[in-house]
Amino acid sequence: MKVRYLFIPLLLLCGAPSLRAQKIIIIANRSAKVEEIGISDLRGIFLGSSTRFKNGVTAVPVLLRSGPEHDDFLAEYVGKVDSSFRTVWRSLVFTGVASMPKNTDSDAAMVAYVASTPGAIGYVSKNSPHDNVTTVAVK
Amino acid sequence: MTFRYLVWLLLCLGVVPVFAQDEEHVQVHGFVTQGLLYSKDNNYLVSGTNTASVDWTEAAVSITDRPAPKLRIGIQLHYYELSDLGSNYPTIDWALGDYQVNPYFGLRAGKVKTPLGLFNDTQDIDPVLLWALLPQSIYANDNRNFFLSHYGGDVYGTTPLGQKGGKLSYRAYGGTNNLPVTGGFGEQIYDQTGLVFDNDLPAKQGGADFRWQTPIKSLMLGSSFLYVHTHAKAENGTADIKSYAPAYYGKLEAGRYYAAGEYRRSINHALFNISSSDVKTTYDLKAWYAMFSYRVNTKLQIGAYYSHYLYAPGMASYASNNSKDLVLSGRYDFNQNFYAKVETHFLHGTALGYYPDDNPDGVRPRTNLAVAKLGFSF
Repeated sequence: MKVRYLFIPLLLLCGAPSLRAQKIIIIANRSAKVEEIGISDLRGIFLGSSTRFKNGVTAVPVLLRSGPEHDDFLAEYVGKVDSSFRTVWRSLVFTGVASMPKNTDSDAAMVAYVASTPGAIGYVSKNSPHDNVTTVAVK
Repeated sequence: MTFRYLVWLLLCLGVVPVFAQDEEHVQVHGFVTQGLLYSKDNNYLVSGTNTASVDWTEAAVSITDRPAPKLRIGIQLHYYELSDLGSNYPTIDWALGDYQVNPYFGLRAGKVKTPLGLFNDTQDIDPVLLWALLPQSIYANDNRNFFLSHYGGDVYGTTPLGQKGGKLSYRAYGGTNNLPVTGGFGEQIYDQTGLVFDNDLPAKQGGADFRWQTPIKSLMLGSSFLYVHTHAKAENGTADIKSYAPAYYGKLEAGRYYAAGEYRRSINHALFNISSSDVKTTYDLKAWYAMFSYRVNTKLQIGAYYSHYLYAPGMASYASNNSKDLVLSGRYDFNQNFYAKVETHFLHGTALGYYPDDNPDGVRPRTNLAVAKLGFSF
């Protein structure tokens, strides 16, 4: 085996998260008027340390209850696995300083909730229909 | 004891989880845990650990609502039984109204969790911790009920510090509190002075907590201080204790790795009037810990910490004046709700966690302790 073939699985491993992440898109309620967001701002909103977008609109994070899209989103944009992520929110909820984000059971439910909730921001598979919401670019 | 069985019965029947809600307004969440303590040589924290004690149950239920976009209200009931420590009946952990004017300023009023150091406000929330027992040098289970929350108000907020400065969060608070007669401090005062109190000891307290999320990704540094003035009348005298506790801490999270450390000092000036005689004394306590953990996979997390407590500097070589604890821990999450923890403690020194009533034949300088916990959270 030539040495360069050893790099192929390595490259695949290194590129895996970003390839996976390309399957996920971030969506927001149109009234939020958010078309792009910094990854640290996105992380702050989904970890409960930020409650607003940079334009001052109150942010309402929305989650998928479970599934590969949920895991991919957490890994790529939040930097946590599901159990660690829920630990962060349980810390906030059980100390009385925040409420748990809304959980949705499917991409369709996510899109419907984000479309109807001012300030809502969530994530779905790129292939899922996502009319009536804004697609948000992550910087 | 009866309440403990009721909690587990409801859980097994699936009654409690049915009420779990995650709607955007009214939310109900809770948890219940059952612990086991097995120690060698000494009874640790409570009696009976030498022969394995399961007399350790905790449960909590919180209900919150958001009646207006900037206003949240809520209450959490908490049940804590650790043999004769703890309340043995549900108490209000927190009950508050929270009005956030903007990200820079908000107000909370009612019974509010007290921020002090890295874990004070979460030390009774088992589902969020890897550790079955937090570092006892600072977060002693037998004394924790005194520090958890206060009646009064908080102001809080977060401000960015520019592009390269990170952001700074603050909380400042003031109010009143009660030192439980049945807690560790209550027992220690009785053991050392013989003062007998009919009720919990009233205290006034104030303090602040600052957390700097540094520009270095995932590095947080913080500092807190707490001032408490306890004054109470006993059947046979009075106790007047003024305590000041500064704390400095930091936390680093990078991928699967987590590291944290904290240093706290507690300076206590006490004046006891015992049967018409004044006894004045000062307790200067120093404590610190360093911890590290690694997430093996999505379900398993392992970690270790070293915790050190020092009482009355100058006589540190006495086992009765210090407590050192080396801990190995593991947590396994079966799913989003159920988890288990196992932990071993290698304790040296007897300044913390031992009571004469639990160890009538005296205390040996070393103890090995095994801890296991099973928990459910929704």
